[in-house]
Amino acid sequence: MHYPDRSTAPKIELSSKPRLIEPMLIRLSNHNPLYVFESFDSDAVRFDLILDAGSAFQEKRLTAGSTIAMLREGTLTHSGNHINTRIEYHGAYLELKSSKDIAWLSVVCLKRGLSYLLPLIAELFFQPAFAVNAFSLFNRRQKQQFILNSQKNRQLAIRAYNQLVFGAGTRYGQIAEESDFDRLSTSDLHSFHSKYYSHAPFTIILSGPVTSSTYSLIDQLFGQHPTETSIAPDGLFVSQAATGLHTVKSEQSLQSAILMGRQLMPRSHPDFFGFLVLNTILGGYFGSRLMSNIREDKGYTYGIYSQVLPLRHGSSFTITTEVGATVTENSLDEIRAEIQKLIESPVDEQELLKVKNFLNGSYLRALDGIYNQAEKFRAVLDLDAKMDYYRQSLEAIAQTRPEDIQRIATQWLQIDEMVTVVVK
Amino acid sequence: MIHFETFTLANGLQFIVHTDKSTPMFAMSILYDVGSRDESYDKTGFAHLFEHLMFGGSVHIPVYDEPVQFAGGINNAYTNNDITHYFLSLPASNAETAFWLESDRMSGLAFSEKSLEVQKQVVVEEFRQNYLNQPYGDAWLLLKPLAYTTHPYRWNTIGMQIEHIQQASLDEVKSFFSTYYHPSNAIVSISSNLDSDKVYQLAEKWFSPIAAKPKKIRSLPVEPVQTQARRLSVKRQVPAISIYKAYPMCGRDHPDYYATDLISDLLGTGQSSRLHKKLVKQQALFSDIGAFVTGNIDPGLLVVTGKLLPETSIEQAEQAIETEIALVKEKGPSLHELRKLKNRIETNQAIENISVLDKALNLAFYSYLNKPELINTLAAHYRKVSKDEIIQKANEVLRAEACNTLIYQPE
Repeated sequence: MHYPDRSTAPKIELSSKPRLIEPMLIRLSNHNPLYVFESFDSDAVRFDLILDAGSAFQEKRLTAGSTIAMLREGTLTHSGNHINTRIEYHGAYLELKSSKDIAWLSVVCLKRGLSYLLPLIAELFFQPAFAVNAFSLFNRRQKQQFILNSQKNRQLAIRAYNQLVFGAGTRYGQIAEESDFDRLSTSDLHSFHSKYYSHAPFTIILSGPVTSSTYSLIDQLFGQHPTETSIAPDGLFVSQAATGLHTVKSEQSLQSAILMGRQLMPRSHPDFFGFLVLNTILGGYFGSRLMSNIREDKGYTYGIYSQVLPLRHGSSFTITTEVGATVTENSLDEIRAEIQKLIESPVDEQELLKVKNFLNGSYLRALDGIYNQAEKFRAVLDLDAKMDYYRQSLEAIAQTRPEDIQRIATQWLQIDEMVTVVVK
Repeated sequence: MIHFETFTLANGLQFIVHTDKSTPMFAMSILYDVGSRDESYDKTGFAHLFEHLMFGGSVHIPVYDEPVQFAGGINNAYTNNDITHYFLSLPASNAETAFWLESDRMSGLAFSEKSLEVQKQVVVEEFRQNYLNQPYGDAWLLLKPLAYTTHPYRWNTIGMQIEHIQQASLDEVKSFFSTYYHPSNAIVSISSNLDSDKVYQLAEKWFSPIAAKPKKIRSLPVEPVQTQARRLSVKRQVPAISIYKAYPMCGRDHPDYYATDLISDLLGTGQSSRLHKKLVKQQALFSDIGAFVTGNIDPGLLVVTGKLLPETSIEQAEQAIETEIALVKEKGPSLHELRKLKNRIETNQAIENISVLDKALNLAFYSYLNKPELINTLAAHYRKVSKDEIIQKANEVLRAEACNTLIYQPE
């Protein structure tokens, strides 16, 4: 038997750069873009429709999320039951969701089902009924879910943090309260729909085994109505973020939920990519400093992460964890200490190399296959660079030096500029 | 069609290999034939705690994660009642790193006493986070011992109680490793752009020197046929009444599995499912309701679970569920519904086998069932299920006297 040399690690190579696929762009008759990622490797087709109708656009809380979710509850000519039965008959999945910036309709189905489903999708998109009965049932269910979430420390922390970090009274800083459900009515949905859906510009991304007959069907269904320029809402998106420690009392007392962070520079800022590297070192992967210290050395938590959430009008950086209630203070001290270390001393070359390699592999994985490419394309729709963003990003990551990390940490991770929420 | 090849090394280690030339990635999964069903009733949660320790260092590699991250990869693992499954994915140019890492930890663990102590604490926090510190978190901790009296499925993978985890000793960990972590108790699944010859070479080089050991023969107590309904009602800090109904069913590898799985879909998967359509949308009794099967290797459970709207009484809610179940037992699905159930399965089969990592994980599991071809034929098994078969199985499974009901009431 030949025994391999186990004491030396096999050589690492990182020659592989992700292959970036530029989608084909087709302009619908009303000039809305249809991007196509064509591939015949799988039978699955994905249809994504994205438009500017996130919660930042709403004048009343819950409107944006309820409008998109109610699309499946009935149209002027078909009941919600009919819609769901037809979608599910074709083995399809319809997802309706919204973020602060966008609303998003997504269908996954087999190739053969798409042409049957698209007319229905267009109908529910353009002609939702927002019927009073269906809405009242929907709204009650949503309220129940909200009440359930109000008993989860993590959810309570997210709500409090959102308001503190983006500013109360701002478009990004809105948080729902239980009584908001009682104030919402179908007329709010109708008017939001007519303002931000009916004639609003949108983007469609199609991926999978699709052909030109599908494009013409999409143009027929989605390209015929006139589109007007989108209306920018007035008022502030963000204001000065809060700082300091904010404690929220809860009924679940075994663990404390901690969120800590701040507003961040936009993706166009020259330090954004450097910050991505910094974030990864601190809490962006399993080998991060926070995870190594607070989970793997101290055993205070099942997991601790940090993340960057890029938004159109003000991004955020957030550390999040749930720790044993008795070690809440110790955990906060350790988090602060890890941040302080990044400000005070440069990261060593080996660790930086590891993080760069890790990020390189992450991009390769995240861009593997047509559906992932389409998803990554969706994530950068707002940017002029489109897919080239990922090439630029990888290049910038590769060039990041320890002194850059330290400079960015000094500028962006000052603890007294951050806000901390503890729910326990 | 997903092509695969299989081979077995002289020490008994099985491999299944799928080559996909379009991917730049390499995914490897190793499935060990050990889960929480193999634990002793007074040392539960051990298989899962052990999974954590597998990342605490092996003979030549102090920290498993380090080299994976250096090679641009990610890794993780999960434990359930039946198996422990480790997986990693990295750029294909660094495939050999995966062989080195996984073969080293199959050869021998070398974690410290400290690592054991820390991971116990981490698992205790996992227990709190997922099972204790949120509404309805302990549902499975209550439901399993209600539905099982004898078989080790009566405890959860996380463990029966936190104390069991805290008591684990280094000696027990060592003997667990020696019993379950060796070539004849594992399946390695690889999905990447590497040809199977190349995979074979690397497998020979890194895994064949590991000594063969006999596989431990499993002999578990059999759960007796349930003849009386059981019921448990608890008061907790929860916002709404919640009902769980668990019915014993066959195991994952039984020919009846597919029909039974379709029954759960008919009842409670999707917005057009019977329970959702009627009890959530039409009658407005529940805010949410669904049904699913546990999919265990040994006889599992078909579970119906829902949360009541504030005005609904427990009696009303249970009566409504019973009515829907009775309808399924009497008339089964319409042909349109049956077609719908099968179409969903077909979509799932297409979308669950896209990424290399998913393909590796699925191939490992199907190999574990001794039916690797399921990666391509799964939907065909469901397609064969007839309406009559669904009616027959529904009458066998959804018996009132075999129902285990758990009710949460707000304090």
